[in-house]
Amino acid sequence: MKCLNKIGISAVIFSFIALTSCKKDFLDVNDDPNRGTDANITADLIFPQAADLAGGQAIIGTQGFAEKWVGYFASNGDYARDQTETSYAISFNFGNTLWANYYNALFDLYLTKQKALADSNFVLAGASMILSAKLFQEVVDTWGSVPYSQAFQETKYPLPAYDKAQDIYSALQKSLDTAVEYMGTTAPLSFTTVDVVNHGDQDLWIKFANTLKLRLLIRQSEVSGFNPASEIAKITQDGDLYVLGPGESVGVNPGYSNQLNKQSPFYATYGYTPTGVKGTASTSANAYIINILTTSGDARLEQFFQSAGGKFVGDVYGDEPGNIPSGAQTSYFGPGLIGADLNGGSGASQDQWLIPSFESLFLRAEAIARGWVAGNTDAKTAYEDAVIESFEWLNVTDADAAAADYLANASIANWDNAGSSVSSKAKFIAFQKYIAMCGVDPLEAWADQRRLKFLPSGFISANPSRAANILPYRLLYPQTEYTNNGDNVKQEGTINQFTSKIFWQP
Amino acid sequence: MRKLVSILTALLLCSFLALAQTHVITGKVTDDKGDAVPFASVKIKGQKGGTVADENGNFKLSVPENAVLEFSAAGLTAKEVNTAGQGTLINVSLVRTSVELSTVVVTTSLGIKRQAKELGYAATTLNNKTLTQAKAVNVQQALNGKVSGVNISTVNSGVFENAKINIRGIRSLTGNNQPMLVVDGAPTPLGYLSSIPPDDVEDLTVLKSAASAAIYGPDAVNGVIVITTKKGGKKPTVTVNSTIQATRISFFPKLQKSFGAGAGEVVDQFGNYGYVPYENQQYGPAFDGSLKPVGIPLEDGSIQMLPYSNGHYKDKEKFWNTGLTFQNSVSVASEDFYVSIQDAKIKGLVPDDENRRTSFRFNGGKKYGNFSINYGLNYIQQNYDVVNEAGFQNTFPDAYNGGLFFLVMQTSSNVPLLDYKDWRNGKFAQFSNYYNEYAVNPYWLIGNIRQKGREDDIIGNLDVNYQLFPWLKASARVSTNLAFQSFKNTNAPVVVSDWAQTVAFNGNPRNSTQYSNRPGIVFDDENYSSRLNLDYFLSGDHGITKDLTVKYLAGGTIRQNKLKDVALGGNNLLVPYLYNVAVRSGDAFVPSFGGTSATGITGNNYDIKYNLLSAYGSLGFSYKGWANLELTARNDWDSRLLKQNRSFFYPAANAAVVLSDAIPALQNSNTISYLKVRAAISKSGNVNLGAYSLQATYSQPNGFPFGSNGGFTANNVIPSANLEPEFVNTKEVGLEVGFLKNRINFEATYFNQNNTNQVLNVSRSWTTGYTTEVANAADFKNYGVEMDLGLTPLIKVGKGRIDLKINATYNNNKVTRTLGNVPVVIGGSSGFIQNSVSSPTVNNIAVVGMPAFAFQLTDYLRDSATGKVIVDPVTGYPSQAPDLVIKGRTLPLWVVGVTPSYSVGNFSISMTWDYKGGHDFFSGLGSDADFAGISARSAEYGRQRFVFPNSVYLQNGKYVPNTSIQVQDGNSGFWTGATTNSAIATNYFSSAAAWRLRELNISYNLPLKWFGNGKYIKRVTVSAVGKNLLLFVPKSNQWGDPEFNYSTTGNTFGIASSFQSPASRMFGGSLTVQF
Repeated sequence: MKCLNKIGISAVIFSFIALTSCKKDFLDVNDDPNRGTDANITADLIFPQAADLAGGQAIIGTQGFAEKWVGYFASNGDYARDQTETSYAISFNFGNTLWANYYNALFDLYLTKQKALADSNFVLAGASMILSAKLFQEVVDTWGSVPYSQAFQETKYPLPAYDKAQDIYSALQKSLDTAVEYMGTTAPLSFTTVDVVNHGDQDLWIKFANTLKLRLLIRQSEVSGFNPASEIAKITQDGDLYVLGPGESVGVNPGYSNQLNKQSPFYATYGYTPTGVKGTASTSANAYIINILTTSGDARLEQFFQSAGGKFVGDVYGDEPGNIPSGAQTSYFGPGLIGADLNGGSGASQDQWLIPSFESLFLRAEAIARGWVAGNTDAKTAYEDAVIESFEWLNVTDADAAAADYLANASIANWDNAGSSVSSKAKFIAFQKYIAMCGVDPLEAWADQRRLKFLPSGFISANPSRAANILPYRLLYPQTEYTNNGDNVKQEGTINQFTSKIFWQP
Repeated sequence: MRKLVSILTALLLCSFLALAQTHVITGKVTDDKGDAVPFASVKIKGQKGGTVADENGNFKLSVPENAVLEFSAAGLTAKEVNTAGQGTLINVSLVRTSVELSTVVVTTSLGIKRQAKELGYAATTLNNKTLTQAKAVNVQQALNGKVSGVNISTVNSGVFENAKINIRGIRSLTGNNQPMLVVDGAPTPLGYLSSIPPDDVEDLTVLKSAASAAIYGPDAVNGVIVITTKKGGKKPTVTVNSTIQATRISFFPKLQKSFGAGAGEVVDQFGNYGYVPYENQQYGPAFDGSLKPVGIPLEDGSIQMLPYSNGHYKDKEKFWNTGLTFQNSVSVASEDFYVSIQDAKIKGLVPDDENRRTSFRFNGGKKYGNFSINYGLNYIQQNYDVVNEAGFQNTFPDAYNGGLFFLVMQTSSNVPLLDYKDWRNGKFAQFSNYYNEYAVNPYWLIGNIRQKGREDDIIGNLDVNYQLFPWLKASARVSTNLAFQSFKNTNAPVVVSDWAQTVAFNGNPRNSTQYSNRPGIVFDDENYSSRLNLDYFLSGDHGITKDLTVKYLAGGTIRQNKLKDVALGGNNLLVPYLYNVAVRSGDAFVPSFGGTSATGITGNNYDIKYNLLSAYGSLGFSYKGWANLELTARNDWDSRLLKQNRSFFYPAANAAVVLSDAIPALQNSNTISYLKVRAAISKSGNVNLGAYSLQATYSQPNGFPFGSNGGFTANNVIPSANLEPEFVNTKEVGLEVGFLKNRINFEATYFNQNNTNQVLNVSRSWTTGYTTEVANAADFKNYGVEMDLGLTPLIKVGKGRIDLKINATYNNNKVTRTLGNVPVVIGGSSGFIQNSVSSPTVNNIAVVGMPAFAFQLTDYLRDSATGKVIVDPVTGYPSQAPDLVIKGRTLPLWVVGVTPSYSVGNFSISMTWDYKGGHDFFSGLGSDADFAGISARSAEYGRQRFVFPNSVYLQNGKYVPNTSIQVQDGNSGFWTGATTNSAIATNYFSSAAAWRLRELNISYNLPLKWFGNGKYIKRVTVSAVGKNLLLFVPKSNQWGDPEFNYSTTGNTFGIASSFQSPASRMFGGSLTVQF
């Protein structure tokens, strides 16, 4: 018995020692076998996704309000009126998702840049910075002062302070300068594969960067005392702006196809689901833009929209569902935006535009009309190039002829009607840019309207409960900022969407 | 020297004489039912010395001839037995005076049984009878209202009836607050509490304090529920039990009965909304009884013409089934084993929801000399088939149909909802012909979007003990919990007739979102989790002197947890109704792993492993049985932390003094029969982190990879660099007192927990790149008093008696620090519960100086001076304030349970009432119902323009009371407007106070003379049971059972949604036969 006792004790003691001695290995099991971490996720692995986000993967759907506000799209009679959106009485939650999506994309671009720089991959860092500048401008144009210099450094700045909108604009110019410099360096071989935007074409990246620089400048045209000369000089080459020209649209395409979650973002939102159901059945053409296109005999009408029962019909934005036609009776989006065979899915694999060629040409036209560029091209030619490019871009049948016809015969297009003052020319160009940008970039149209107030009346919501007779100047800072970064956002004071202007607004 | 020798001789002689005169008596102490009385005290009258019976009531004592033995045990009437002429075997039966306080033997850590009077901390034990009286389907429901300090919320009334359990409130702001479950010594996932049949439970002990749990380690910081399952007695008994219960809807939201469908598609010249026969929103005209169409004319021209009245108002309640629960069990108990089989079949309130659970248990044990072995095996199989409300969105991602309850709510009261049951053949019920264009037939949802699953649980434990020396025992215990789960979600294809896709009504085609074909969807998941636990320890006790006994224990734990999950889906099935992921077009849907937290796992497709090592020891001193001191210490090494933080140590101490034994004046008191004071202080460490939580991670979002182009995005969570365990410092003092032979028992405990280093998910601005930082970011204290009062009997009525038990817990808490003093949002968010376009934001939030938690809600813009809502002087509309308001509390301040019972002869009746109050609740259903226009609220002003109550407006720079400015639109314009109504969370916020009659039980033991006088049948009991029979809530709560919460996991409380069935009440009957 005693012997057994000893065995028993020894067994217990032995097992205790044995078990504690294996402690080290036993406890070293906390490396994640399921997810990537900073240790193994490289810039190359992030960039295609970040570029997809920048192209609007998550953003396009949440920008629907702007498409409607500026008169491009409208809710149809199938659905109850969205009281919040149509009354402009936006809540603090209204911009939450948009804000989140922007900063989410910007963070991935930031990480790409940091990781690429650490790896001396300057070209990829530059590409990330250029995409980042595009998005940051849109963020500033929507909310004004926002976190920029302290953004994305959680450990150092858990509560990022807000930078002045104007300062962010200057910082973006500088960042784009650096990016252009980076783009001039030799790219690693991997860049061509990873670059789902320009497929390794570094010149195109530089033109893209310069176009964005120009877009920042144009936006500030009405800021008193603004002098663009030094920045214009940086983007001028051989007496002309070195920006995206005809045929040089920048878009992203990691390999979109007509499958769930893999469709090109605009198509996924406003085209058809892979099974052929309307992506956003509640939304149709706005009667406002239909009216503009129809009365001016614009051949692009059939490219922007589909006919409904042989007619092009839009809905009056903000009206009672009972007073406006249903989705089936109104025009849905057309082949210029969602591809030629509509719900056949060809548009599902199209490039998602970032900056279309014609947008760059319109910016160039306005810069020339304003006399910012001492080049050989006159404003009229520059403007007409842009309009023609718009027809081309939309695949209008016999585009050049149709454009020429339009430029000659439509009073809103004929340069003779542009007036003589810089202001009237700018508004004239802006209106054509507005038409060309239909559906493509509502934020640009919204910004131009706030800057130049050029739109003919009729686009304001018909909702009798609307809180004002003008478009909001901006969105309210999102609820999440008041919740999670309250002290900083409150430094911006009380924000009112009808009175708190973005710095570049006159 | 000589003197010494003579003294020694004398002593030897004496002892010889003594030996000659004494003899050894053995025996067993039992109670009046024949159950062993462990640790009963056996004394020789008029002499010093004596002994204490062992765990099984057996004792052995040398006594002089003709001695009188005094047998006593707390809670039992003492008895004197004269040994004269009794032989050497004396079995004594003591009569129970009460079942409270000191009688109880408590199963403490590592399965070691202790006398309750020794414990320096609060512990409550419930026996099988108490647990099974209301025939609750599982143990957690049976526990409700029975133990002070324990708060159980039933968060839904589905077939799983999951609950959240908190003992003495919460100790962790975001981590796990659920107690540890120990079944037969084996640490077991708490979820098993809902699957262990109450019949299998011998007794259940709730160790409320972290102090009680120092030996159990970090899992026990929230208290421990210790369950001992049955083992047999000497004579084999067979018990057969059969129970049937029916469940009915008990609490329905307040609905409007006056207005039918319409949302502005039809408007008259005055702007009034006309009737729209296919609309889901109910902002149409008032019911007038005239015949009106429902839906549009079908292909064959037929149309439903029905009275436009609220005749089908009740259909929304009648929609829900009478749920049925059948429980049958058979158990055989004998000395060495206990075998039971139980089968429970639950048919839910939701038509076609079904859950069936079959469990098999075998417990056994054997003793060979110094060696003993105990083992148990429990196998549970559960099969369920339920509607998959969450999966509905996968079929209609572009619509906001919401959950089943919401679909029902979107039915106007003139519509005969119940007629649409036959969604396959019913002319007006078929998908293509259903009248409502914006909400599908709820019966179609039930029939077509389903989840079927199966869970197999195996719990096993093996316990070996070897008595090395009389003073030292070696024990080892291996336990495993294995759970295998698999489920398949199937979404049937939507097949719409050509007619429905192309028909136009008044020129308008039908809504293409609803009337378009959609492919079938399948999602398959298989997972398992295993926990292996090895405890090994040496323990024993030793009498240092006659009065002082020391008890000691030293040991260690090794624990390994493994979880694995594989999941795969197809969103585009090619062959209708063939649900296999291989039969699809396009890419498969492979969800990714979202990470782990202390409370759960997000995402699928994971492999998780985490380990724990511990060493612990305890030392206890007992002086004369009435003064007890216990010291414990533990060190853990946890794999989830960084190397430098991995090891942490925590000590504890507790003491108890039984004054009624210690103070001579009290020993013979007729008034005070028992008096004990106790105190405990402890520190316990707790790793409130999941595995792999120390690094920021990346994943591929939906869509990626595109062919060879992969693409990663940073996930939203960043851990702070140096995460440490949380610590809970607990102090408690308690008093237990029994009066009048323990007819009145009172127990009270004051507890104060200081919870430091709380690991929080701190919400971050999106601009940091992350939405969440995990950090040791807050401290809070949690304190209160829990009280139990038992009156046994309260009064005697003839032969009958009335007993009364009352328990009450006051539990308050307060956040004392947050990181940088910034409020921390704990859970909830906008839109998560909500289907309509404008959802309120509601969070649980931790703010310094406020309770854990308060609510953070969207509110109207108010005049800061008066708190009144500011309306626009032109439109009369209120607007939304930029700041969210912080108010209320999520956890009850008071929890009171009252259990009166009456028994006479073989008849007994008992009920449990409980009250929870002082806390608040938010109903997401409220906003949904306003959106649908079905809520009583939305018709408060008859859909007419009205002056917003208690409002002010700005006039000449001053806010003046608004008595005349009416809202511009009193119909849907106001009620569905986000900033005017439906996004304002304070509109749906109310007191969560509730009184409820939680249980009623009437039972009758049939006279045995009917069954051969007990020859074969020992007991036949019939009983009637009812649960949740009555619920009283304040008027401000228009929406539902305030206990319901949108999630059973996580720490959010008081946030209900329309993804839950309405609350239910239950009636049933039960028959128990014992052979």
